[in-house]
Amino acid sequence: MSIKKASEVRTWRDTPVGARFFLAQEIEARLREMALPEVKGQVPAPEWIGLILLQLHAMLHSAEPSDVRKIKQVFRID
Amino acid sequence: MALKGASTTVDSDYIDWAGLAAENAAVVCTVKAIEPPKDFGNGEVAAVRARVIVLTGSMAGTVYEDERILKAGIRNKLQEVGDDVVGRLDVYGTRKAVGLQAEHAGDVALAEAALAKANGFKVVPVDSPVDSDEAPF
Repeated sequence: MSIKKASEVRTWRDTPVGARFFLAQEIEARLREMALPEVKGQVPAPEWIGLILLQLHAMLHSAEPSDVRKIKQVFRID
Repeated sequence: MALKGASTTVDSDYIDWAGLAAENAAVVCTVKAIEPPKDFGNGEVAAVRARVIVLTGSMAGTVYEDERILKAGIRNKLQEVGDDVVGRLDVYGTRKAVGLQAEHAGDVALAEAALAKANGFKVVPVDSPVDSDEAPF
């Protein structure tokens, strides 16, 4: 009897595309945190914005066309 | 005969994935079939039919013989018919979706024991070929 371990089954999440997608979700969550009522109206530190833009740029630069569609969905970009 | 309201009747064999994930339960899934892709309202999904045996937690020992699995985080780990896949149910990502995650030490041994027991008591299908023409009794 050969049992497969879930940790050894590769899925879309384990590919570079999947990893970037989940990174995009993480970034989305962080952007939403910044928009919480208690911080709304405050201007985020320029370093913060720069970091986000750098991450986005890196993701989109290496993304396949189909990934761009997914990334745009995550960030609600038309 | 008492009528039952639809809102108060529940399938007793329905898997509570969220509950199992909250317990970080170990399960072993045996893939029985992969259905043709179908749109369930959120894009096409190739549902997986599998036997699911719960190995740990409050539902340990429960066997779901033929479960249709739609959740991507579980389904994606069940790729070939006949596979036995062991792992822990847990949530992942910022959307807290339930997925089949990495197994813990000892889970493989639990799965082997559970599968040996489950396969040993497998019920012979009613329409299986009969070896003899004699009456069964």
